[in-house]
Amino acid sequence: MFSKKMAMVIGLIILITISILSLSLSSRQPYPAYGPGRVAIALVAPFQKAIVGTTRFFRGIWEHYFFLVAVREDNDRLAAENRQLRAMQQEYREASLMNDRMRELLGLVQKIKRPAVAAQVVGKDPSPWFQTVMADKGIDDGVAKGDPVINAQGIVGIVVDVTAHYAKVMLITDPNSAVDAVVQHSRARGIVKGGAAGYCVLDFVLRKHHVAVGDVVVSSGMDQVFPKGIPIGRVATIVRQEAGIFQDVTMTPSVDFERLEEVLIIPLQRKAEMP
Amino acid sequence: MTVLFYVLVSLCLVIIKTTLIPGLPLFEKFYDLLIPIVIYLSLFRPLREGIPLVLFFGLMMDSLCGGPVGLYLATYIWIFAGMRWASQFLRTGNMVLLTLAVAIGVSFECLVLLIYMLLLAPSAIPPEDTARTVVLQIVWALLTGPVILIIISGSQKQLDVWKERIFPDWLDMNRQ
Repeated sequence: MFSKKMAMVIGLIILITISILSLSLSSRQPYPAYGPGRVAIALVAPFQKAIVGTTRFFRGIWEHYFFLVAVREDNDRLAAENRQLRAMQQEYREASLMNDRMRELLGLVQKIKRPAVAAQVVGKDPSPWFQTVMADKGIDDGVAKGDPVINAQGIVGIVVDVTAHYAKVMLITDPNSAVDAVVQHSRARGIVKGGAAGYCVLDFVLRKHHVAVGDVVVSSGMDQVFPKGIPIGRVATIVRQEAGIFQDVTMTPSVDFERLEEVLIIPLQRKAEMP
Repeated sequence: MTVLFYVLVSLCLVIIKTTLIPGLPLFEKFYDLLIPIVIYLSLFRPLREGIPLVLFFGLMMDSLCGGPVGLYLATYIWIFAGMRWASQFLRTGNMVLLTLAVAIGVSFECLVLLIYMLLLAPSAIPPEDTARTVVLQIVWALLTGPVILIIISGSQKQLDVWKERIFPDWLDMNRQ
């Protein structure tokens, strides 16, 4: 009745129609709650779970243990970087503080209007009986024996020995030290000598002169060594004996010798250098 | 070699004393660390080693200290000679006596410095805390003197062992 060719065409049309219909029907309910899909899921999923679980387990081990080696390396590197940065920060802080102190010294140089050599303190006296420090400037920098040494706080001492690159500075607290001084307020004169550690004595102050605790003592300039008006210290105690023409005055130096780091050496204008 | 060793040790001690120790609060009145070495040299080492070293120590300290030249040199020579003389009558191996020797050495140095300040220096006055300084120095000497002597003695023994290994022929010649 139908030719073979016609039967193939009709079959093809039926298949296309069924396909379209089934797709059209299934698209309305994409996830059927029953059918062979569930069986497949039931069969495959446990294995999937096991495989994925195992993979995750090993990945976890890798990431949390073996991979930690890399993290540890990172940590070490960051810690080293941190240390470096901290050291740099410390250096900057030190440099900043030094800069402040240098500014003070520079201000002092401009104030005293004399050439000066900035030096760093590199060592202290090996004996507790004498008060000297070693500064890192010497003859090559224009420093000579007898040059006065000051800092922003006041008078430090005098150069007592000098080599090409270093100078030994006797502090005003040394028992051998003597500086001609006046009490700023009353203009009473005296000689500042080294006393106990951290203290000086102001000798030869006449009893008739009024001196009070807290008065500032400055250099008189009469000794031809220290510039006039540089602070030396403040009066700490006064004892007026019944007899005698002088009063016993002790004073606290303006300079904190425990924390002395930078000083200013003022080369004296010697006769040969004078025009 | 021995002389070089003591020169290096003394330089190290002086550098420590002038840079690190002043920053430590309890050590501000610490005694002269070269005194135990001077005492050890006087009691246990031959004169040919002791005398040049004592002269070196004295000159080094005189150049670093604020005192006059010769003050430490004289002090060390007196300590060296005095201890050597005393060693004729005393048992030098006794640790108690050695501790006392260090304390006596430190006291003697303080005495010499005070005499200088009281009688010889033109304007020097002894510090007001003199008594405290002297007492602290003697206490430190009594506490640490034996330790320093033991360290020096141990180092010297080790040095002798090395010398035996490095220069055996030269040492044999010297013994003959």
